[in-house]
Amino acid sequence: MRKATFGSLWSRKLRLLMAVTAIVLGVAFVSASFVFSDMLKGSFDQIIKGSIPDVQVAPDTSAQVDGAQAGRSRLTPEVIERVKQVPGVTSAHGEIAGMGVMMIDTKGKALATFGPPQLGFNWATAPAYGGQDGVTLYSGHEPQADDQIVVDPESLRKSGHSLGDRVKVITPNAGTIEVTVVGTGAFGEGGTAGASYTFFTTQRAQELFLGGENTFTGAWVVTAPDADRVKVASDIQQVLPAGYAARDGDSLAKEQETSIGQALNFVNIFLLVFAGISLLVATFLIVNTFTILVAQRSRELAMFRAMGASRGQIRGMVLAEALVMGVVGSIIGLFAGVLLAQVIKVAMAAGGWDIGDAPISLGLNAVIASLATGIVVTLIAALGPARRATRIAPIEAMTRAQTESDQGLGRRAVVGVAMALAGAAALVLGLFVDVPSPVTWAGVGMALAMIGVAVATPMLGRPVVWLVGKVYRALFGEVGKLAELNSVRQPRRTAATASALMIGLTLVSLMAIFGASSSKSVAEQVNSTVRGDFMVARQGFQEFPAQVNESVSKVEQVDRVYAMKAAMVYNVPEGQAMPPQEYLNDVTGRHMTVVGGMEADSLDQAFPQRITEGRMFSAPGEMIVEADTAAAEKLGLGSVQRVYSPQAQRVLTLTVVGIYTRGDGSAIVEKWVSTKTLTDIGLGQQDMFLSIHLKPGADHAAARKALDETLADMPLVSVMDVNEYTDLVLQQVDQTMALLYALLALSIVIAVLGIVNTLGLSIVERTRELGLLRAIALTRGQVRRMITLESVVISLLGAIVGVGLGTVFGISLQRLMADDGINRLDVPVGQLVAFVIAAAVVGVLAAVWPAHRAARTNVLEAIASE
Amino acid sequence: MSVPAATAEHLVKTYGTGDAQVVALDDVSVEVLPARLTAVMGPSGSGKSTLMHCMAGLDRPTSGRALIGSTDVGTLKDAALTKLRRERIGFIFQQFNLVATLTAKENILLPLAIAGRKPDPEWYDAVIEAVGLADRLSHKPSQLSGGQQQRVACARALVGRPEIVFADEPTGNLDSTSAGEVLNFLRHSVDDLGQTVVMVTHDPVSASYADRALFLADGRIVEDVEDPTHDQVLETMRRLDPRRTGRAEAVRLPRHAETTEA
Repeated sequence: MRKATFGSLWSRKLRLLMAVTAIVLGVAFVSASFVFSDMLKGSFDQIIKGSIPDVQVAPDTSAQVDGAQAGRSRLTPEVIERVKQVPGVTSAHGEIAGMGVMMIDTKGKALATFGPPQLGFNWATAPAYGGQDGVTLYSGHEPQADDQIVVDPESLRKSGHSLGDRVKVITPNAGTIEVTVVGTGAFGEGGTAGASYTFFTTQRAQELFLGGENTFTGAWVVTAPDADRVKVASDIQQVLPAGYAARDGDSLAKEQETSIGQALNFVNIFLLVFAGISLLVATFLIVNTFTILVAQRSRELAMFRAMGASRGQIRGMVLAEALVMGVVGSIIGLFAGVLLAQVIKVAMAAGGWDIGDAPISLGLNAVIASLATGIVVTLIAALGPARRATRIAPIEAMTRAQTESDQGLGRRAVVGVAMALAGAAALVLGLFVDVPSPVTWAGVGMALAMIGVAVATPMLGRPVVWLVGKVYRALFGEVGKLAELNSVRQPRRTAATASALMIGLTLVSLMAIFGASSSKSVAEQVNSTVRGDFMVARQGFQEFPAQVNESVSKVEQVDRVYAMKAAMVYNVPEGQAMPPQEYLNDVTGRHMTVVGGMEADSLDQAFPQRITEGRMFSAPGEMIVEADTAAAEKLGLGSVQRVYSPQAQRVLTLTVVGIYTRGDGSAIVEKWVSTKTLTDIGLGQQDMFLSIHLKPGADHAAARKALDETLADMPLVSVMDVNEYTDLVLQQVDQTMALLYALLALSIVIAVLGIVNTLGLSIVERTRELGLLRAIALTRGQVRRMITLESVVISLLGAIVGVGLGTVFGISLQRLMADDGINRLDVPVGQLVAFVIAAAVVGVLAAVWPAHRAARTNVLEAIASE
Repeated sequence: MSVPAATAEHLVKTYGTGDAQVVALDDVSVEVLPARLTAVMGPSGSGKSTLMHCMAGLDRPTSGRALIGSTDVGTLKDAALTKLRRERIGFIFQQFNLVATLTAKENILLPLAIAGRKPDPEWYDAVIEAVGLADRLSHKPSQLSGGQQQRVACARALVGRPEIVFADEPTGNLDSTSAGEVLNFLRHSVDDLGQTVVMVTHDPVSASYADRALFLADGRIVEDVEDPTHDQVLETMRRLDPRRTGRAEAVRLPRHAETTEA
């Protein structure tokens, strides 16, 4: 029996190849998501290794510094001296670390990234945890003068500069400076995970980051090899000022790993969702392939039955085949996933999320997850066909002339329609009825409806096929008619093939509508929200140096510049002194709020709003809150909210003095305080947004030119008018859309393979008939056209049902999100039509190989074949 | 003397090369006259099917010429050949002769529809009446018996009023009653409708319906019998391949004898 199984597998290698391809694609995504996160983790581990000392002294982000002294706490040289005296400490040096340090490359662009930080340090080499290499010089020499820097090798490569070059570097507080690159260096083995490191002399670092004070932001402590680091850390703690914590390297590494793990989990879940979609689509393809394979082999299987094989043996045989294919496909998919992870890495790097020179590793969990998913899905997909195979009555199968048999729609349609209706009901409930968590209702409804429609496509697709058939008959005459009839000959098979494409297109259409609606809503909101002749902002809405404001204000045509500052804070729950640690470690940003800071009289100049209750903030500690947000957080006039800023290490008590509405507009933030509220605690040294008002009668074009020239040195930020500013905001929407499209493209690829597969198999099945048609009537070209048209029917069926469903879903989603800022509906009809046309093209492409094969059918052989 | 409907001139067809070379047709020349039912007979492997395939333009001869009317089939490109088959030749195969997705009527009209031609209504009625399927036209092939399917195939071959109809073992897959129906129809189409039919068969009963029987053995025409009778055919067959025909006779004779007399 085993021999028979393998024999029959081998004899149909071409057909099996297609099914294996489906498994490979599905598994590749699962594998890629694991490999990718392993890769990220490896890259971070590499850094953690060299960048953690035996004991680190750093600002305690979970402590509150009380007392008169505002701003961040600092370590004085005296503290460092005291630390050195602690028993077990072999050496210690003061560290200065700052963010937002960027080199400008040879093309004049800043080496900016959206993800990893751009760090600046003072140069100091000392062994890292357990005597490993700490900061290491790779080439050149260390910075010896204040205008010399050492950068990490990867940044130097990306910048296009070489050692000895004079370069410009953007610093957060001191503007753009000019220095010479004298060396390359980094922590440990040199991995940066996309972050950039710039090292200055200690004195320069103090100038740049600490305003020239002779203090440090932390300390790097090396202990004796046999010292108990936990003990040393707690001894050091005794000599530290308030707001500082000494942590041993071990627990520091663990903590970092945990928070990185969380971040990666997020990426992983995202990738796994797409892996799930791909697998769902692949399952349709696998089920289809097995069904066809079993149908074509019914005679052979019947012969086995006649020879005395039991039902169990037949089922075993089909399942064994599936197992072999599942194993082969999963193993190939596993390695394809490694490649895919590389592609994702490159794509992310192109999008500014460079994870650096991460090592590729194929972890055990990647192997297990990929193989298990692939094999289990394949086996489940083969169960139905295997069961059907056992029902073949020996005599019936052996005497039946053709594998053709009219397939009823039967239970499938009933189940599918029932599911779709249930889904629709849930969606309607979520949309129109006041139920708790409407998004969940709608989401589950959409999922149910999609799978239901996929299952019921044989029935639901009939009008589409009928319509396409009408067009075909009119355009292509008899050949068109034959194509249409061929496509409905096995309605279930056609539908299953189309369903694969349908799922992909449903999601793509959903995204298209949602994306367009988001863009439209955002664009309108921005337009009615922002005031001023020009704005200055940075991509990704990161902060930029205060120097920009100064430069811009000096431009002749500029009348006033209104600067918005921002602070990232965490809510402190009632009755607690500090936000819980998990709030701070959470990487999803759920517990984070951004509070905007402006002068009371200038807020309205930049962001129009109308106070509906209470008054505008005036004194420090007063806050105004947007009406919807106030309602959601149950804040009223006089409410007190306590928030914690890790950067300032302070808890702020904010009192709501006003509730405002911004009409149709939206702003970057929902809560506003006065600039002083932020600067009082040492925040708000950088700006987030500038609104520039020109002098009356100033020439816009000239002003624009002057502003551009002024900021030529600051490639981070750009001067924009309202439309350009809108584009900047939309850029983020577009980037997200591009990523989602790219990921969904994979499910479409699988669907296309499904069409190729089904057509290819049905052509093998119809060899005889094709031979007959060739003999009596059709030219090669006509055969090719017939198969191509058949393929187009399938793809159009999938596309029309998919786009239709996606449109309904997209509109529903917009309605659901109307309160969350997506308050305009935009159905990009042109784009949706383009999807359908693209699907037809896909159909033509998918038919190339099958049609070629069909046209090559040898008339004599076909007629002679059994 | 009428012009031949199809002509074979020194047709040679070989398969393979060197030691493995098989000569399927060995210098065959023959003229098929119009309005006649010609049977091509011979034991299996004698080259009878190859002869038909070459003459009908389904296969290309190694050397020699095959003509339909005065058209040299061997010189035509695929598209022209398809057109020739569609418009000037009718085909009837042993089995699976119909397109499963089309009704009987659609099957019959398929070659015309593809060529964009309308059937001649009188001729169409005559053919439909002759095959006796007027009440079955809207049925799908799966709803027809084997004999009925084959008669539909016959009607399709004839409806375009081709110059010549090639039938490859048209009764090979049928029981004797159905076979009789098909053969009677072919005979009728020659006698009453003036068609030209070439029929490849190894069945002596089928051959006895023909006006002329060509006997092939080892790729050559070895006998050419006018108005063959059943016994004559059997006799010739036995001479050509005593072992095989002897067995076939023992099994098949009684059954066919019944039909022919009926």
